[in-house]
Amino acid sequence: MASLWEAIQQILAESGFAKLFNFQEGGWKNLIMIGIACVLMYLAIKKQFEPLLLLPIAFGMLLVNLPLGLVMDPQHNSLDPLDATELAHLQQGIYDEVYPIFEMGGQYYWQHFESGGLLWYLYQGVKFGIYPPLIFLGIGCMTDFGPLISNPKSFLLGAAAQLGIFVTFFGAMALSLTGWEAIDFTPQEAASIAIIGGADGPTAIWLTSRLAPNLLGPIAIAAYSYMALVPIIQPPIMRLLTTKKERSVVMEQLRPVSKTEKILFPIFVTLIVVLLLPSAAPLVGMLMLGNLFRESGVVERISKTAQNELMNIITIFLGVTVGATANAQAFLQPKTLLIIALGLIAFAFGTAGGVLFGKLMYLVTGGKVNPLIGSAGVSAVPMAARVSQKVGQKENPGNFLLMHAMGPNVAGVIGSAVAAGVLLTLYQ
Amino acid sequence: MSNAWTALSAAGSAGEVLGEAGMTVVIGLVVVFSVLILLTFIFWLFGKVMSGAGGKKAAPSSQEKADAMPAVSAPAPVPAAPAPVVSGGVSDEVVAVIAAAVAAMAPEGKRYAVRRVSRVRGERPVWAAAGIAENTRPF
Repeated sequence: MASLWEAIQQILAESGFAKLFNFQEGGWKNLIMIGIACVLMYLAIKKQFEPLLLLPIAFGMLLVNLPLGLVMDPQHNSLDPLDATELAHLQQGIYDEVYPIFEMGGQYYWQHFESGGLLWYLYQGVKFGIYPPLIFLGIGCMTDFGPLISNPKSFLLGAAAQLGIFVTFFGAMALSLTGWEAIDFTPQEAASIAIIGGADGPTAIWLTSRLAPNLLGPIAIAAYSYMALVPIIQPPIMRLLTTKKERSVVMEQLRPVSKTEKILFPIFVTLIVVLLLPSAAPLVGMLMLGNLFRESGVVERISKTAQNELMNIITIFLGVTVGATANAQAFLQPKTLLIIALGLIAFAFGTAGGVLFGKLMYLVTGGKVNPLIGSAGVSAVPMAARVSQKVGQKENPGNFLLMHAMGPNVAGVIGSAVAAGVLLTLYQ
Repeated sequence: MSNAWTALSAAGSAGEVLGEAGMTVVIGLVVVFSVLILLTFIFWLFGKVMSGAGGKKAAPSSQEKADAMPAVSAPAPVPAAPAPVVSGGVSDEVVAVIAAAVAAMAPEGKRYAVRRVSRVRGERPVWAAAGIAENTRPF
């Protein structure tokens, strides 16, 4: 009976529970992270904040913070020299281990191999920048660039809304000069934080995985949280920067776009952007390939797969592994709070940049452009365009800005990919 | 010494670090705007070319339509009452549809007359507005 009790005690002592409640060894940090994961799952399920991404991210975060789960442990490879006994056994044809033996320079080695955790393998798609461009492929298949083609001026709004990225980069670098360790960002880290202002999750993950992989968890979570909060963050800024008269502008109907134009659009954009900024090739190239699948109309099967099955599979892998980067040691840092604050600043400045440029276009065109469509330039497709529509309709219920806002919205996707390419070129 | 400090200027001052960061802001915005302005110009030009080609194609088709019109409208009965004043390119068919709609909604036995039909400027056609409202309601 005593031995049974001892066995139970031993199992409990070696379990994750013992680690979790061992506060001297930092178990409390894991408990906090599990709490955060549960809050995110609540927001995803109950409030439906970007559930397709927030739910896998939150669950990945939960998994990685359960002690001894080892889901994110890296694969281990090593060459260990055989000792004298093992060497003698080898010469007699006796093998002590199941590992393969290598001979190099007269010395014999065991090749030890320990496989990594499941999520570590899946994480390689993030680490090598594979998943975000594949997500862009699916987005390209789902995006209608018609509103942008019929009103090419929308490109300018998509560029202006990238202001937040660069303002935040400057702000993060300025903060680093305080010399306080907790808010000391390298230029690579500052660039990765700033890209949150692009309001484009895959772009933020892609750039961060290349420049500052140590910040991937906080940046991905901040980026997707703010994308989910677009309807709350943007309207006050839009109202603050525009007059009632400007918000009430009814824009002219867009001209119809021919199929030829829609087919040539992705080819031209790829040629121009990739030739000018080769580092943006993975994101812009995949986005435009997806769009060509859609508009050509000859590869419907591929187009459907890219925007449904492939996109869903990648979303699961991306979400759960990005969440798994948020382990307690990496996440519970003062930097994380600052990243979340800087992300909000980036978002706000991006919105303001788009709206202010919209005001400029309102003045230049003699009141033909509603500045509210400028805020959609931050990408976050199609949420930001819906916000323009809603804010515009509050002033004039007969006003339909949705299609006009979709132009800057999809231009913002191209704009943030270009901005990411610039930062990668400067700081890789 | 901070990372930013060391990375941007080994023996630099705060001014130099901010100068470098400011330069990144300028380079970034200039490149993003240049690429997108180039795309704006190309697709503006593209639109002009395409609408030019479309216009040439559309011209004969509208001519054909005009030729076909008298043939259709010729057998139509001449209205006994004075024709309503029609402006803004409203076609006879539209006038007929409006008159039919008024007749359908008017109280029975009452006589009515359509005196004037004119297009309301600057407003979206009511059916187009209804269609858009229907399509955008989920948003």
